[in-house]
Amino acid sequence: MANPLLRYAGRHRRETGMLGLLFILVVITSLGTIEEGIDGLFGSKFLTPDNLKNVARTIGIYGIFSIGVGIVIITAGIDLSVGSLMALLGVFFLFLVTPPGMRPDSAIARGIPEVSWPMAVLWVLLLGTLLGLLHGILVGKLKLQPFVVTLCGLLSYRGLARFYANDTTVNVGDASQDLSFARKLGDGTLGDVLISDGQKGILHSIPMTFVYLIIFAVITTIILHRSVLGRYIFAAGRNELATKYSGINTGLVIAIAYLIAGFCTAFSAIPFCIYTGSVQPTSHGAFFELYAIAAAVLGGCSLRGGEGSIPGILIGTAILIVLRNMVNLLGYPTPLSDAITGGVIFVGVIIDQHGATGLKKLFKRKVKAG
Amino acid sequence: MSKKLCLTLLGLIPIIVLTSLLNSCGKKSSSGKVRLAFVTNASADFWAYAQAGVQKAESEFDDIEVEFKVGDGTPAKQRELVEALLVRGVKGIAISPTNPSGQKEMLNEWAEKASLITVDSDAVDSDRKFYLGTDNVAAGKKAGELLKEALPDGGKVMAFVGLGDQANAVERYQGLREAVEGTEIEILDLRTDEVDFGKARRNAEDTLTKHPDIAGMVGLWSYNAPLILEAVKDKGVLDKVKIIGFDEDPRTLKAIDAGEIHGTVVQKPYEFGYQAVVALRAMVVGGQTPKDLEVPDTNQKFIETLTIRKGEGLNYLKKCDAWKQSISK
Repeated sequence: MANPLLRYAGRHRRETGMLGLLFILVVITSLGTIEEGIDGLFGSKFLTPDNLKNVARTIGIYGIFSIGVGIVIITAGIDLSVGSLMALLGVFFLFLVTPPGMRPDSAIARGIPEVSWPMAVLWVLLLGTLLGLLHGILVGKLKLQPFVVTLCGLLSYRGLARFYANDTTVNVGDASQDLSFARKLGDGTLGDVLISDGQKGILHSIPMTFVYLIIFAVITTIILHRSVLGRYIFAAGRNELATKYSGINTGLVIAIAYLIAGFCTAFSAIPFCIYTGSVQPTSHGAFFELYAIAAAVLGGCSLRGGEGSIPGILIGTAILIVLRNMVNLLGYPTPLSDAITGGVIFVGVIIDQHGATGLKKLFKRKVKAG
Repeated sequence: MSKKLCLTLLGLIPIIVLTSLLNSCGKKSSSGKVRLAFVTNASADFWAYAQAGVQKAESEFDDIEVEFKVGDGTPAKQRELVEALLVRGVKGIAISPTNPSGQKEMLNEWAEKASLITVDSDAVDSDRKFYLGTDNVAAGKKAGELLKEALPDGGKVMAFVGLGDQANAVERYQGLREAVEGTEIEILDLRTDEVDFGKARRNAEDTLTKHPDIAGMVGLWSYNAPLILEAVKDKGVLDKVKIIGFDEDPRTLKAIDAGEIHGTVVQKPYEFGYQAVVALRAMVVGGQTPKDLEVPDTNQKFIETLTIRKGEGLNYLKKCDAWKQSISK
């Protein structure tokens, strides 16, 4: 029983290492928040249903767009436009569900017709996917540098969001149509959607965003690790020229990767704007691209391309979110939060670079011994 | 053991050191005390003064423990902070919501789990117990009074602010206009800069160019007055243009005593912090209602502003510095 597990761990040593780091963080946070009279597991506040729900909800939102960015990174690309795209799509989504009269006073804002929220979701997904495809064509077909293409996206999408919204905040509460079911789907739990809200129970501790993340993870795992397209994505990332000479349309493969990233970003933009209740175009989603890149790198994606996995990206995301939760729960000064995150990523990457071979040997030895 | 394995183990040492270091500086809960929290919208000196007030109130009672949390200007961060505070068992929260109208849902959700009051910026139709802060219309009127003092013969005046649609900007501007109504003072317009300091200064410069006969300039947000002063100095019209400011930017306070800025209207963040904690404790520990705490029926408790004129600037600056010094990290 132990042998196949260890063999799996040996083959995926990066993921295993980061899973270890995640485990350490969880243990530290759990132990640090034990107090009497808490209904969480072992009396730990970290392990209360409420907190686990909060953590899972955030992992859901961050995980989905991190998967998209991770796939782009595997093609040796980068996507810096995630945060700005989320602001633009958030503004766009709230425009679509709000009567024109309630929108900021700009010609473009007032010109968009009001639609029902399911239609608005479809429009946002379409726009996000199209913008992703645009990045893909620019990078894959026109051979522009991904850093530059998405940097332009980073600047212009936020600029457009601010312009369309007249630099004012757009609120979910301004919508006149009934968004209660959309709220449940975006911010609620599986129990809220399937049974009724406000109850306690296992289904009421599983946030919808986490459900979406699992669905995304399964689909992208199949695409990336079980399909021909996935092999092409890895091949294009490792050596684009060689892949091209073996008769594969690398431009198309790369374009598809950016398209997936655009779709993932668009999908997570909707629950995130419901989560915050409003979109402040100047700051909504700021630095999200960097969180996504951090999650991907922590999870074993190489910025040089050709390496990485979906489970790794998920573990990377979980590490980032659990870290932030740890900082909050243990009562550390808030300004330290980012410093701690940076420190842990740094240590994680060092171990990954210089300790991986050591770990591998350790596993080999154990396998032999077993 | 292989060299690489040693390296791996060495790599673990910083993690262990880091966590143990953090554990020593993180506040450990002392059992039996009621937990309260103060959450800001963003980081600013203004909130450092509030923190001094919070800590003063905390030190006066031995049955409470108050956490001071600093937001980053986004509702997302505030949600993350407050949800963690609630998990930690905080029973009373004073918060300055970054976007009151958009945060109504989450404020209501938190108000179910803890006693919640808003500070500095109010969410009127939420379930918060009450609001503690400045009456910005009254503050605008005070600035108007300063303006009347500075310009007894009247003249053209321009007002400046960061975001013209923010509640405190609208209210201060309204108060300012009301105060000078019926006098010879004519308020031309409100110029906005989207909190871009470069643009704020250019706004002031352009006003001086476009209106050579301008007699007064009013900065409605803290950074406006110092930038107006720069522009006026640069143009060499310090003797012709009277400047009125808001809040306690050190440059404003120094310029007041130097006679370059006529005066400023300051809020009392220290009192915000102090009174918020006292009120939360009274509600959570003492079981009192906002009525018991002499909160008016409007559920808004205003804290008077203060006018600073020549000769009072540096003294007030000293007071601010003393507040900052008093904060124990």
